[in-house]
Amino acid sequence: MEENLIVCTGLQKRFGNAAALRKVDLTVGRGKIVGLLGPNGSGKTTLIKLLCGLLQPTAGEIRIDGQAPGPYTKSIVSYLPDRMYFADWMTANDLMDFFEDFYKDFRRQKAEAMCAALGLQMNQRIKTMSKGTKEKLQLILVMSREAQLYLLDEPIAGVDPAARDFILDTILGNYNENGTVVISTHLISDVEKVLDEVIFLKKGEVVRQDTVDHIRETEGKSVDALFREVFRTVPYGEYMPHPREWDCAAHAPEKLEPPARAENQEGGDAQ
Amino acid sequence: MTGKLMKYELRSMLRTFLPLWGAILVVALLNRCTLQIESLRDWLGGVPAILMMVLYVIAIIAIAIVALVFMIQRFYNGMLKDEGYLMFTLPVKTSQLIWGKCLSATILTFVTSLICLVSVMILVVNNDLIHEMQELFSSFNATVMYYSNGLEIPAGFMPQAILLMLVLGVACIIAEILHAYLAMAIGQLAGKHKAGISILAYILISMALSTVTSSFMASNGFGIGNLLENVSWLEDVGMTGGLWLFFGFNILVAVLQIVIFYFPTNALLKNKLNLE
Repeated sequence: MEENLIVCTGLQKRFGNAAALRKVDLTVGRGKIVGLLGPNGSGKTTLIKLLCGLLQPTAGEIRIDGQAPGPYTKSIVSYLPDRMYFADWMTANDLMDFFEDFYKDFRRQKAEAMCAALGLQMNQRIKTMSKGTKEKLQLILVMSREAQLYLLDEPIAGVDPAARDFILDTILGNYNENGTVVISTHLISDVEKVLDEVIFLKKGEVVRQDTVDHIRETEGKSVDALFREVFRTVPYGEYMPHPREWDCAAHAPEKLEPPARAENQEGGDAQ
Repeated sequence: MTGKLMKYELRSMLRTFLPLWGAILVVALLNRCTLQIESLRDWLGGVPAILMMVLYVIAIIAIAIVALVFMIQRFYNGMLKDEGYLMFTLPVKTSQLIWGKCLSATILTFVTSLICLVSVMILVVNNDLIHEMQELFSSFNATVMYYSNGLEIPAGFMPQAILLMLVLGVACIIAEILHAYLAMAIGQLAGKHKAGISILAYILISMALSTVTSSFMASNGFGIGNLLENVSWLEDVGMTGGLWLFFGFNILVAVLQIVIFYFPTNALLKNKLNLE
């Protein structure tokens, strides 16, 4: 067993002429909950897709438990995409069969108990389930694996606060504690309390990787506040809005580069 | 792992196809009744009987179209759209994903053809036909049969011919399925209009292949016409030898196509996957 779970060296991904990731060097250990934070389009999903083998890097290298993405790494990675990936014709029961057949680390009893707690019928067709139920079922399946690495792509985007709590509680209550959980999101205040470590991605580059405790100690502020500072963008025609008015700095038009003083990257060890 | 993939693939196919297969057989049986029983055939001026026959023809055409659409859709939706996020993160090789789909689709096509054949048998079978079939099968073991042109057909020729035809049929089905897969693997590379580009790719591949094949055939005198005109080679190798040469060549062509279609598909899905 390798000491570091994820090692990326000089990782690049281009789509045509557009660079989604530029030279990412990253090392993530075991037994951690890591926030992969950045605005939309910063390369979070691309990085996750590279880690789970859905994309191949343009340059550079990825090692998960010492191996390049392939059948072995896929057997130890549990991936929650930002969409529904079920075949409509299946029932919850069929999906359990499917996961049990392909993943040795799938704990069926656990998954069934979680479904029962939600009142989910095992013989109900996926097609007839509501969107929220489908999302919960998908999360249950992903978290019922005793994986070494959980890659959760925007698990709490677009859901109501109650569902958000359910999702975070499910993640925290069920992950394999020797494994690492990577949660990508731009909703930082909701996940901040559960994170051990954060990775800030900006325009395809890692601008900071640090522990949450260290950030609080050295910066004297929350990760959420630091995020707003690092990713602040000045909207066209206005000058320096109050940060609170920018609930989602990510959606600001990037027509203008922020002023230099907003680019607070002090101590940002872009490793 | 390919077996496990096929299990789920076949399960999803059977859900649609078991009722269709059943319907074809039932309609064939009903037609058999209207054809055989005089009072039914002439009932209401024969209109129901005619309608029943029309229904049978439509059902046969429909099942062929559904099988084709299903084969394409299981790959396109099951691998290149949202379901791809599940399939391509399974701990299996890309090659196993492709063969899981391809072999399942082959089985589906083969069984569907068989069901259609059985339905025709249901329609037309009678004592005379059974008798003729029996004669035909018993003649398989006869030592020699003579035909007007003097060629002798040795014992065991027909079973070999049927076997080779089956092998060729299956190889052609696999080649055609992989042809469609390659076209879709090329189409998914595009950011937009994936379906349209897949169709275009399919047509271009067909054109390229037929150009190569026909120029090769023409330049080497391998055309069917050439073979039949010039039967002297048959005397050299004998009927059985000729059979194996003819089918062997065609099976080789199909296998070559399988190779040509499979490896680029595998490479594209492995290295250039571009899920929506």
